[in-house]
Amino acid sequence: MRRMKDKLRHDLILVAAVVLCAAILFCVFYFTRSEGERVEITLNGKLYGSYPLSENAVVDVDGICTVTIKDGETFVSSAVCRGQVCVHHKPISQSGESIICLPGGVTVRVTGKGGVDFTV
Amino acid sequence: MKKAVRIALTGVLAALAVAVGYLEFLLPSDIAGIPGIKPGFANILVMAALYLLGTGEAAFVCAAKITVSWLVFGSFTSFLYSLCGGVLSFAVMVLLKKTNRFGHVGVSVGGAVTHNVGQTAVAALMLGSGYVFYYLPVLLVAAAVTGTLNGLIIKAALPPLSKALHRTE
Repeated sequence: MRRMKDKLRHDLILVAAVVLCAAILFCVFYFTRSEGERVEITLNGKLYGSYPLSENAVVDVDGICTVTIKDGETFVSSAVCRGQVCVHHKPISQSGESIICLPGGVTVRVTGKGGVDFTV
Repeated sequence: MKKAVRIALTGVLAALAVAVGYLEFLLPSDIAGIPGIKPGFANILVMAALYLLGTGEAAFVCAAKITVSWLVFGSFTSFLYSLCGGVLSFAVMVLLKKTNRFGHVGVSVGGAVTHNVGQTAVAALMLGSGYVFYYLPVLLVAAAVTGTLNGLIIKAALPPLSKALHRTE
């Protein structure tokens, strides 16, 4: 019985630790962000194109998906993949935010002064 | 437990894991409005094998689920993701269970977290950029929720299952 109580406590600590980690990461990402300046699109890790966030544009990324820049926001307006995860993603505008299309190997990223730099 | 029963049960659990994985594949991938989050119910079958049979049988269920899903309805990319997520989460679940300090929920959450973190790492490698890590807070919370849910399900399901198994003796 004592053993089971210990396990329950350890389980709770583990779950709490995971949620705490998520909260800390979220705060770090949230408080270091700022209005973005440019939209960078990469295809399979290589830069496909860079566009100013302030100018409306529609970019066709190699027939895989279409990226729309409108009113200082950018979003994936269409994609040929099955999941459509990237299309359902909300429009992004803050520096450091990104939309990723895993099957197509496309990342759409807003760059600017703020944000955590993950460049490897 | 008779060897034939062990083998038969391993096969049933593996088949169920593939079936559950297929059902999740058919469901829209943005449950509750969050893209890319899945409940991972197939892990319940892997954990059932881990607790009822052993590490080897559970490894088989996990490997069979990943391979058969790939051949039947997956793509090579999805196979790579599930392989990395599967191997990592399986190793962590076995370790957490070995310590004998965690219950079903702890083992399940540990597996779910490493599954998501592992897949994020693979995504970062394949896309050549670490910006996917921005999604990590969402994935961690999702893992805590789905892991707890799966842990509670397996906790409730194990006693009647092992009772039924003892009747086969």
